[in-house]
Amino acid sequence: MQTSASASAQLAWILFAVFTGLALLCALALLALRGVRRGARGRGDRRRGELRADVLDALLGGREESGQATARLAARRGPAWDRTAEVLVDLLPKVRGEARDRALDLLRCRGAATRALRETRSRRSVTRCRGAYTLGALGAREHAGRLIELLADPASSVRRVAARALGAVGDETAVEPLLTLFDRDSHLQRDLGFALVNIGLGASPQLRRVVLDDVDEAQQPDRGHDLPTSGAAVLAASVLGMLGDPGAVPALVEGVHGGRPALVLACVRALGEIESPAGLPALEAALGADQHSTRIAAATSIVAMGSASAIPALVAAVETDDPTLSRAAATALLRLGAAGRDALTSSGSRYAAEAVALADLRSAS
Amino acid sequence: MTAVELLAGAVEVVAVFFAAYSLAINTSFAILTVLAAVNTWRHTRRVDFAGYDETFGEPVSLGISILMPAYNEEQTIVASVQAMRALRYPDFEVIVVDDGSTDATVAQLIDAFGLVRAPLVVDDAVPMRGDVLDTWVAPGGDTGLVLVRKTNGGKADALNVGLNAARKELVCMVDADSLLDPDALLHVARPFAEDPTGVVAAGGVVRVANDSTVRRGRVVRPGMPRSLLARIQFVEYVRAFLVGRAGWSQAGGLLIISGAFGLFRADVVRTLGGLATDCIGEDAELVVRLHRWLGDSGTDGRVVFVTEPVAWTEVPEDRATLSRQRRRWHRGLTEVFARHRGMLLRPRYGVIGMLTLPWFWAFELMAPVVELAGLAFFGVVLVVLGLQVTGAVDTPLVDGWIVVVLLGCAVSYAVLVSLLALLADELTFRRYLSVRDVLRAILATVQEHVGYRQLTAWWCCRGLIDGLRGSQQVWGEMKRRGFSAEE
Repeated sequence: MQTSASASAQLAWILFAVFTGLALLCALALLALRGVRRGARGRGDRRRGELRADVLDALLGGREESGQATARLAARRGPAWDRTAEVLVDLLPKVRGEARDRALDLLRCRGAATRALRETRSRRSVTRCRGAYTLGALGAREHAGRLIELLADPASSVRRVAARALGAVGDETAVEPLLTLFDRDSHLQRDLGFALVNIGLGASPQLRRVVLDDVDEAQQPDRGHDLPTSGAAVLAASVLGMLGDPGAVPALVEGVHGGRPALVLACVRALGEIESPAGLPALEAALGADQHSTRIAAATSIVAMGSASAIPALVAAVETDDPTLSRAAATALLRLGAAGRDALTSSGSRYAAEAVALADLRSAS
Repeated sequence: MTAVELLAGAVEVVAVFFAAYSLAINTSFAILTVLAAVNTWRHTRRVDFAGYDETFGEPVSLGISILMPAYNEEQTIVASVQAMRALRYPDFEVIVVDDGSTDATVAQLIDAFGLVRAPLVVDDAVPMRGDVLDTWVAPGGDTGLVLVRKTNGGKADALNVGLNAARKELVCMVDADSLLDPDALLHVARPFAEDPTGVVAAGGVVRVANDSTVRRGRVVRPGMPRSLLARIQFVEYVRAFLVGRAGWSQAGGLLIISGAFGLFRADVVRTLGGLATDCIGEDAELVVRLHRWLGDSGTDGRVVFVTEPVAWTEVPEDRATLSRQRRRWHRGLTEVFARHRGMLLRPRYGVIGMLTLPWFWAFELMAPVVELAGLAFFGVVLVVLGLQVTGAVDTPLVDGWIVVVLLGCAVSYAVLVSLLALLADELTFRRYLSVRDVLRAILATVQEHVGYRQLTAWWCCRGLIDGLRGSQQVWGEMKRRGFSAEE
């Protein structure tokens, strides 16, 4: 028992010494780290101040001023150039026109795209992210193939950055790989939508194809309509609406008539965003859809085109007293002007009264 | 065995229990610190590519309703609302719910923002206790700022009214005196944008704002509180949020989101019936009930912690206010456990049921009891030692040195864990203190154990008893110094 007690005492002393020693080390490390960072930050602030001044002069200055500042920036080497490149790449999405062209010229003449491409092959995912991000910021279309390869990267963060970069690059060959990625990574929906919208109208043909393929699948006998809509088809329809492509109307109309519920809703909304009269008959047909949300979307889309034919459906929606639907319907009615406002005024719904009161306040201000 | 030997054995067993408990709680905190550091490090390295600026140009972003319950906040309400309205986010509204203030809170708001009365619909999706008196909007019918006046019903009821008035897909619950960083909404909303159906709630870091420099509702320079009480709470907050929340989030077992700053899917909160108005810890209770609902309904949902967004809050600097706060918090925790004890060790609730809740029970709920019992035990040991030394007791019952060393181990390990938390914070947080402030924080990790821990244990135990007895809770007033302003 005495041996056990002395062993316990020894253990207690050892632990006390270890914990206390580690605590002291931690405290010293904390102080040292703060001290070093404070010094580095002070130096960093000075360097950043000088760098910022040169960058602003280079991008925004007059011809002579810009030329001198550009020469100073181009003369930087090693870590000094790395910091400069970082600042320039960070600025690229925020500047336009001649300022952006100057920044791109400076980066390209120093091989920024080549370096970024090399970074995309790094073993570290953060470095691959940086490389992909830089390629996108540079608009390096010649490296779109590498970015497409990165859509299959094991790290989801890299796939996300690569998707956005492909949008920034604007290469239409990326459309299909981006839509394919959606099936694997549905949580990248926002990034993929952003990328497809940025690619622009060049993406439209492939997006229409995806919508039509889903409609064909839904039309198949033996439970075609029971299978869930492809998420990629819904995304494609949404993007077509955001692009506002009138050429997409026939495909979207097909989607309204023959698609599964989720695709119908997306196509109805897209037709409302495009506001093409060619889509009006399909929208009017959608007023009788089974899904409440589809009926509302159809009504608001019709209103967006200035047609008063949806007033009865919208008034019915206001009177459901569902906050989201009622408010959306009330807003849509007000957009129709006097006819819509009269319909709201005669409705007994609280949401109608709310919408009219707010409209009065707006017009009084 | 003689009675003396039995007694000596019992003393040894009890001493081992306290030592083991201390070892377990501090080791678990150390593990959480490592997990938190990993979580924060990963986030920090990716934030440069997060594309937050692009959020503004994106075709779809989820709207946010910021709900601010206010009661007698005339000193700070205008600045708080101004700061909220200046947050960077493409689509949000601010809904201030005045819970029957008796001071000039409402008058200040109406005057400062030119609010006009409007018949806004406050529906009844979630039950409300108080009555809505009237509603106001910004000039020109701008619903970006809404004031709802109601009869007094408590903070939870005010939030429920805000929930019924909210128009956006997400609701952000804040305290009226919280200061948010300008990009806080961008950061905390990101998980929802990335996984709209999966993420149901997200929380952010809350830091101590006492003696920080505040300009127009923004903390422009973090500072170390001058008061010792506030300094110790600074360390506590770093440990609790950075370690406690980030660590648990990394482990997939985040239990609680702070009421000072939390973002929720509005439809989910409405499905749950809003916040409980008969519970003190309504913010914690909501998230635990959320977990329960996820488990019971088999819904695939996650509660996440986002390291970057920061809310700042003023902590009590006097003992009276601090004691009321800690007593209230622990009562809230007790009530949460009483309500949801059926979740403990149930596999259907996943990591929350099997790991997080048992941990919270053992190391949060019961920790003050164990701490006070340990203190009492130490007191008894000292008395026995005294008797031994004076010869009043012949047989040695207690080895004094072992007891002192064990106590030293417990304290030094706890100090080490706090220092690890500060170190992890220093490595990952991007707003930095001076070297002198860091030194004061280091000292506070030791000072915490000389009186502060013992006092808070006592207050928490009283809160535990309040919770078990269901006593009437009195919130009391918090003495506010306000934030130091830079001209």
